[in-house]
Amino acid sequence: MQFSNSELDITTLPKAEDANLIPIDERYYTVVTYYQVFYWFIIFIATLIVAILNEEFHSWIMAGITLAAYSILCFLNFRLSYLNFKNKAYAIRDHDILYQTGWLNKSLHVCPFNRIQHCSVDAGVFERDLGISKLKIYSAGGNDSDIVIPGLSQEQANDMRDLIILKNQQENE
Amino acid sequence: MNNIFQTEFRRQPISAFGHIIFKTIVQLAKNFWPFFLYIIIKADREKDTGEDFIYLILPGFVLFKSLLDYFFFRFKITEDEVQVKSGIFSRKQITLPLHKIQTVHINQNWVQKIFNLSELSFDSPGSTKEEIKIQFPKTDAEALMEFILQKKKSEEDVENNDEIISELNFKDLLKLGFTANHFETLLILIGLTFSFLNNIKGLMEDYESLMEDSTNKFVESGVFLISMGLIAVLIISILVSLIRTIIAFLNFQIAKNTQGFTINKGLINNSQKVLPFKKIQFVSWKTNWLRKKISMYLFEFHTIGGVEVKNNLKINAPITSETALNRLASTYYTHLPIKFENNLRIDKSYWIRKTLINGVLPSLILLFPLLYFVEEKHFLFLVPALPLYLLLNYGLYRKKFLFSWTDELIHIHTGVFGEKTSLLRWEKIQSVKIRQNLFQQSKTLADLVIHTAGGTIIAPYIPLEAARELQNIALYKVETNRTNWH
Repeated sequence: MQFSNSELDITTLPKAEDANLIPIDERYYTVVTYYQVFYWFIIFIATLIVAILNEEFHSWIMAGITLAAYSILCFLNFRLSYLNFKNKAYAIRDHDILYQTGWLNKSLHVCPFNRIQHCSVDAGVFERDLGISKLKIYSAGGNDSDIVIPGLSQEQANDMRDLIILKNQQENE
Repeated sequence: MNNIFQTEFRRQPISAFGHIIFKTIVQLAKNFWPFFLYIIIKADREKDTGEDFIYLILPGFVLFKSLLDYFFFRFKITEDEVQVKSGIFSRKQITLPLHKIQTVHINQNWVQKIFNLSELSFDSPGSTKEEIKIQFPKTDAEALMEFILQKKKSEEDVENNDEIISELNFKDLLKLGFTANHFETLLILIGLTFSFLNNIKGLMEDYESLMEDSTNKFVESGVFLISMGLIAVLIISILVSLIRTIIAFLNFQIAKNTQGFTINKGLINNSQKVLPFKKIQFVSWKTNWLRKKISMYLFEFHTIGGVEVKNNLKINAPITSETALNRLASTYYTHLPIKFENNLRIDKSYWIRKTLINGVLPSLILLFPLLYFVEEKHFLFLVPALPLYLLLNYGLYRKKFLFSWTDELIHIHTGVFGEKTSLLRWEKIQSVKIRQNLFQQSKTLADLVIHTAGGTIIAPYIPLEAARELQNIALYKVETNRTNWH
């Protein structure tokens, strides 16, 4: 290993936070909404069954409180997932890939191409219908260090996968 | 030596069968011991039941399963690779090229000692779950291990003069045992007792009354006996941690050669581990207040796949002097700076905010039902215990945390009641993440999460600017460095 110890000027380093992030596809929000409607529908049915079977709920006040609680939780959940969706964005630079996500817990994850172990493209049922895919990028740093970018069109995801593999080979030569 | 390599698949030596039976029995006992206890108790009371089962079916089953295990495990070792075929219903075949093997361990427990066998386990990157373990006659195992290590480094001239870095004599072992974390041992003991009581609960009809009786007697016997009891518990904890340490580190020796470290330890279960330098991702050492006084440290190698590997493959080394510590650390990084020009600490808001969220909030939530439902109010004083403990915990953590770096190295000093120092070279980083919750966003603070193949390092609640700067430096270092990280 050759030894080099050149002075590093931090101010001239390329800044990850200045990269132009590309928001993910609108269709991904449709998928999220599908899942949420499905989820809240089941909760609604379950609550309804409990309310019918339980004598204590047989009053307008109780029904009102339950309905109000249900609507508030439902609204908060939808709002939060919308904000989460709005914050999901990615960018590909010369040597690494960036992925930003989350609103309550915001994060910017950067993985250099020469540290990527493998990557895959897959899609769920709703996603396949809408023609979008997920790109999964695995590194050697354990489960928590894998990047999953949802809401990419199929061609885009495949292109990105091929690009990453190409870059990875180039960098590791 | 020559008969190690074969072109045909073959089974393990027939003497390995004894150990397979032993393994089956241990496995069975581990999973079903409450059941056996039940049968023994029952059989004691009503003479007839269970006896047939114990004396006939069980040994039959053990023998049958061991035979299957023995006959369906076949392997072939050539000069290039190891191949293993196993499985009864779902056949599986693993092929492991010898040059891909990261480490080789030799283990020998007392059963294997009787038959003069050793167990060789191979460890390759990536496939942490597919460990291969094969039993050999002891001399063959050693010869094979030697061969594989030679093979790995065949290009370089191999000088096998091991340089011993640290050895533990019995006095060191006693010191190590007495300065161990007795509190931890106590918690483990409490956990074991509870799970034991829980397991036998179903077996005895008179369990409830028995517990009640003994509790009443205990309380009636007064303060003197209670304090005696406490002292007894303390002594037991110390004894148990002493025994644990002696079992774990008896005959401990760590040596260094051109390829890596060799670690030997154990009396009843002998183990010999070889750790190539390249596999080490980052290193750390910890000590507590008492151990620091007698300059004793526990050195840990964080290796590839270290997150997933089972505990028995974790590589810890007790070190008894500063010089040995420096020698170990310097193999990871040659010139450890005495002072770092770049230092970073955790923001003040960390401990208050953490205590509020993780301590005060749960306690408050717990407090209302307690006030409402519980008659006896005198144990409510326990409610502030959690927030107070956390306040101390987070406060000490914040005070001790120091993240410093140079052009080539990251140095992290942490600890709550003890102290822990980690060293990480920039090029060993896999990916970096900056994360912020709402509170941190409003205060422009962030957590810096550094993923390596040997584990994750987090610098919590540091200024966002600093976190970004570190992220950029890390990316620059990783992307411009051409040396292999593994």
